[in-house]
Amino acid sequence: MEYLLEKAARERALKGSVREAIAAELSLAAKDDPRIMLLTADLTDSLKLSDFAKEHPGQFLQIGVSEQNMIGIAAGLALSGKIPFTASYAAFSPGRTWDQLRVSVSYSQAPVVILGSHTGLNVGPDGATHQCLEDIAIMRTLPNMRVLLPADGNEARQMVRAILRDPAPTYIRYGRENVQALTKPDQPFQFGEPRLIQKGDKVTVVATGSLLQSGIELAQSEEGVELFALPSLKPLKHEALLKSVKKTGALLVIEEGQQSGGVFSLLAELMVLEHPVPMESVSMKDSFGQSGSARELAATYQLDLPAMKTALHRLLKRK
Amino acid sequence: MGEAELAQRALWIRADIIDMLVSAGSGHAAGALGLADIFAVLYGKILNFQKEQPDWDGRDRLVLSPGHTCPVLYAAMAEAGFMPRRELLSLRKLGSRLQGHPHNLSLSGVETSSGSLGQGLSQAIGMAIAANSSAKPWHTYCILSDGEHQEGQIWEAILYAGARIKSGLTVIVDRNEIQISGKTEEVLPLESLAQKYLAFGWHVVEIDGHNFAQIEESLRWAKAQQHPVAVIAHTIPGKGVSFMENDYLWHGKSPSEAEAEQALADLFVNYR
Repeated sequence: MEYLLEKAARERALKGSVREAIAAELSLAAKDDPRIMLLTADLTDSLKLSDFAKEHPGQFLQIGVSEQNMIGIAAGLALSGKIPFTASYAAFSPGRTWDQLRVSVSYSQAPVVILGSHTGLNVGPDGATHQCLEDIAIMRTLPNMRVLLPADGNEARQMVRAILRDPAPTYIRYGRENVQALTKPDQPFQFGEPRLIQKGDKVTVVATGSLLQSGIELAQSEEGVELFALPSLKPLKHEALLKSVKKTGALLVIEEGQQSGGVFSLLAELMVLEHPVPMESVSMKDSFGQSGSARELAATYQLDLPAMKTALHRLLKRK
Repeated sequence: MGEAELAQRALWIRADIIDMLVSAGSGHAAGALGLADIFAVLYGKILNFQKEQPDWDGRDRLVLSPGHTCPVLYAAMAEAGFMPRRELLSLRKLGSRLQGHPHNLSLSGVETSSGSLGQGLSQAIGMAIAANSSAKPWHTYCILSDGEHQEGQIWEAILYAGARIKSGLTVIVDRNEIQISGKTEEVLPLESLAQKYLAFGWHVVEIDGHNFAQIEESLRWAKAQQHPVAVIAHTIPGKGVSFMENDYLWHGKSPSEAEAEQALADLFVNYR
């Protein structure tokens, strides 16, 4: 995956939300692929699914505000040869659908795709109930469940294509905000591959999803940063990350989720087993969010660029 | 297949359930025994399947939502020729295809994994929807226990099906009036179950779950409707074994060797 490292290039590139890109990709693919079904629990407009519903009415299901039923219906469809994409806010699915995902999807290996939108603090004024921060932790612990963190619309579209080529239970999580394109379009996505964005020799930084853009800005404004994106959290190939950490001796993990159980925890598990190094985490520190603007919240909960710099400098001192 | 043959099948299913449970040393007797007559009719006269090819695309789907009653499913499948009857003794043992609660990937012919109550009907709805896009649509039958109607997801599914599903879906409620903690009407009352289904837009038939003619007639009628149908089958938990009948304590118990001997004697002496 090639990333747009030049700020000007990013500013020229299309802005858009991941949910729009996914909906557009599904609309395109559904034309010639009758396996595709799209289900939502009363969030058609918010998740930009109206076009799909109009263009492919036979492949769209409005389930109503019944997320558990939505997952079950998706499982039944998947066990009957369909590839259902279920769309809701992450706070609601997987928020209230975990048992259904465990039994009807993961344990049964039903190829259901769970689209978890509106993750993180960018949800803004709606406040804590809608700002999902715990989903990475609860989904990565399910056997047979792939977990993907797209950084932009291009990446998300490629993920959809990869899933259609290789259907299996998959969770994709992303924020609601418009993001600058960080990746160049039309590059195939591969499960398991971390993406090296910038080479460096002083510190390894892993940045994910909504916070990748800030991660790129961090890497470009600090010395010696070797920056990885982790679009595929599970499965995850370890070699490139271990090689990097053996070189740099320090690892900073940036994610929009609780520190406990998410990306930081996964990489801490890996490093403790293979190559222990000082690590720092930019994440939510065991707290819920609150109402506010996205920018205010990022500052309040220390998920913005200044907080990342502080964490980086603290880490470098510990080396 | 006449009533005599159905009675014979049901007898063997019940005997196999007793054998399986005593061999496993654990498992759920009451619900399985209560469902034996319904399963005899399902596998003997109703379901469209190919036993040599359990995953044949055109097969009718049978979803067993109360997965703990799986001994009756396994026994009925063996009776219908899906597997050798001897394999039934591997229930709940390490490496067995007959997991303690059904696993779709462990045994071909088992449609869903179940055990966590309340998930089957949603999946059955998904299968019925998929059937509509198939050139050879199959029919989907979903067994529900009465107790699992205490799970919220069931009502989400009933609400959705009542509004959106026309044909292709039949529910059979095993109304045995017991659950783990006692009588359903004392733990958390469900009546009137029929009125609830009707209010959600379903058709309802109430039958004696041990009357072969009623079982068969109601299922054939249900399949022909352009409406989702709930067949509420009144059953006796532990049916066929005198000391188990109507005793909720047998919901989650398996018989000892001595109890199994007595149970088989009951079955073969009293049920001809």
